[in-house]
Amino acid sequence: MVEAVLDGLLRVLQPDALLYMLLGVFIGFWVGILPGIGGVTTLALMLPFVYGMEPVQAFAFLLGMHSVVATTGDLTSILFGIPGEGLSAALVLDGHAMAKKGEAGRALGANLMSSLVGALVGAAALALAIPVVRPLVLSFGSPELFMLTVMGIAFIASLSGRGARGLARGAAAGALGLLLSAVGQDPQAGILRYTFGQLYLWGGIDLVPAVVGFFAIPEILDLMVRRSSIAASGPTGKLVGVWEGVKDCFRHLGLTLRCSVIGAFIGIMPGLGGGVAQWMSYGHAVQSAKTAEERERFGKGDVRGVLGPGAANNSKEGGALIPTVAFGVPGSSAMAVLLGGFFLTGLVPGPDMLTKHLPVTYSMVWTLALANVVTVALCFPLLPYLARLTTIRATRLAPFLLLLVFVGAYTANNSWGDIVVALLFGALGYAMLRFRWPRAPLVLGLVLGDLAERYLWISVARYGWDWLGRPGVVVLAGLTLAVLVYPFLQEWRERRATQLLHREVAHAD
Amino acid sequence: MRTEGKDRLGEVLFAAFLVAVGAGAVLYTGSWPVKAALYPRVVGSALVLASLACCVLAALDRGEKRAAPVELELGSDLPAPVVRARTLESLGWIGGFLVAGWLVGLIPAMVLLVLAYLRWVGRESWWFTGMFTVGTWAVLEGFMVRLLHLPIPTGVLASLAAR
Repeated sequence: MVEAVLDGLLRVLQPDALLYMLLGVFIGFWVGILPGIGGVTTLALMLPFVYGMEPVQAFAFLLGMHSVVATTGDLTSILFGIPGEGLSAALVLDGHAMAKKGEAGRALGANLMSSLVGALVGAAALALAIPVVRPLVLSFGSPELFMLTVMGIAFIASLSGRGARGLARGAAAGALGLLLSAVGQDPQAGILRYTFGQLYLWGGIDLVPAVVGFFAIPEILDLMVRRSSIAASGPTGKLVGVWEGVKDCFRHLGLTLRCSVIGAFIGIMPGLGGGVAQWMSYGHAVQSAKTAEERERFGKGDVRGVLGPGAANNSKEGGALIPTVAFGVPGSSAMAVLLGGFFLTGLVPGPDMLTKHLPVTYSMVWTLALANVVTVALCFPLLPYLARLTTIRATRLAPFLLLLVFVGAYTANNSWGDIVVALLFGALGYAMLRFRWPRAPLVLGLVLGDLAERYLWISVARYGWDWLGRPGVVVLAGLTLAVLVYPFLQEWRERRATQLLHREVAHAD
Repeated sequence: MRTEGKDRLGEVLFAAFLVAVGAGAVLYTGSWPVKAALYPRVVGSALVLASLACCVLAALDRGEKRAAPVELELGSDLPAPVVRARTLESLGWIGGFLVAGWLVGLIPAMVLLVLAYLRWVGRESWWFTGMFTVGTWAVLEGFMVRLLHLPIPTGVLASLAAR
């Protein structure tokens, strides 16, 4: 085993493989920064180039490229409020809020460091899971996956405002997201739901144009109205440093590691996807706040809201590779494309990858780790310059940002429907911000609704209602209840403590 | 903390709109088989109830102090009429860009938007505007079209000319 690990490292460090990895990192860097042109599209476009390559070289190139997209996709979310990847949207909430306060450097530093920690945890998860992957994946059937999505939906309670009005707004936003996820062809009866005769809607609402429009258009509109720079509302003068963000990652190392584990775990589960990983880790970061007042800082530029999703976004890649390598079951659409890379290089995913080709499998682990170390090392000198982009006048920035949004939205399906979806979600996002409604629950509903319904019906078809008694389901139901009740418990405890304090003061008087 | 009158009316109308959306979504499922209709009925009903609660609480202006806000708020210190005028102007730019994109194609529309916006709204010099526009075109054409071969739409006028 140790021999295979070292053999894998030596293979990646061969000049050819290293060069291909650096080329992949370079392409992935730019693809990640451009909104909408996701890692999946680029993987598909680059797949023909691996013809004739050795397996280690091919995966150094493809995985090097793909793992970097997740890291650099976060940068535009933080700097401009435009999710570079559809899956980077959770970072807009706190990352962009920090940029607006003049803390872009700190947010970028925190994000980059947490991305590195996440990627290393993901790579470690892949390495450690190789011997135990079979029982781990098989212990999670559709009922457990359904409960996992329900647990994700329960985070809506934490992402809503406080009090009856805040909760009602969060619940309405979450329900709207869940309802919007029902658009498209129903997986059970093949009924076309809410498609209104539009072929574009048959496949449902695409997450990329929806999320890009939802978060970016209100920000750009606001920028066009203010005509000042993004960071204009922050303190003038020097931008808060990148190193402060790096230190933040170590100050909250426990949270970063927990979110990395959440990301890797969700990555392992086929069909859940990166969006789930990011929003669940964001929900967990919000719940990690010790008091309700502390929780209120989220969404307004709390660095923990950057660390959690940043770590999960990268650790999920290592996790997603596990079922792909071990069973040939891709954990995400990117992994499905990567599966093509296996066949093009003459490899067959499955038991052979864990025995005969074990060094190749470990070379993937090393590629994931090294590509992220290289990216972080290359990005750090650039961060102060990137942070300065937030001080550029809005009139210079706005047309460029509009261009990014519409190209990003359009490239999701290469359809005008994408642009219409981005615009409609932009209008919805603007209205929600205007009336102080939380946007995160809507995205959570949109991401998880379709999965929840799908897994529910698969569970019913496979097990009847007996699945409700499965140990995994019971444990996850308990955790869901805890997630749901925790914010109320927290508020109740604080109210009680305040009342006790008032009573003591009254007695003392 | 109380909400301003216009904002309150806006939120009441927004919540009422969502009540209508939820109710419409539930009614729409009438002829669908149970398996297809169950999920939208449940979440549609939840939307109706939650939005109705929002509508009532906004109308009574209750609980705003504890509820708001969960994100950084939009807006600036500018006077309301200026904000209104600039919002309409900005929407005009976005709408104009989309119409131009539909007519002449996405890339020429983007080039036109950059040129016009920088010159008339940004009041940049012709030199800066020209350089920025050419740079934008080079990035779009070089990266999106030549390198990635993304099928960027050419617009209805080009389609008509091709016939």
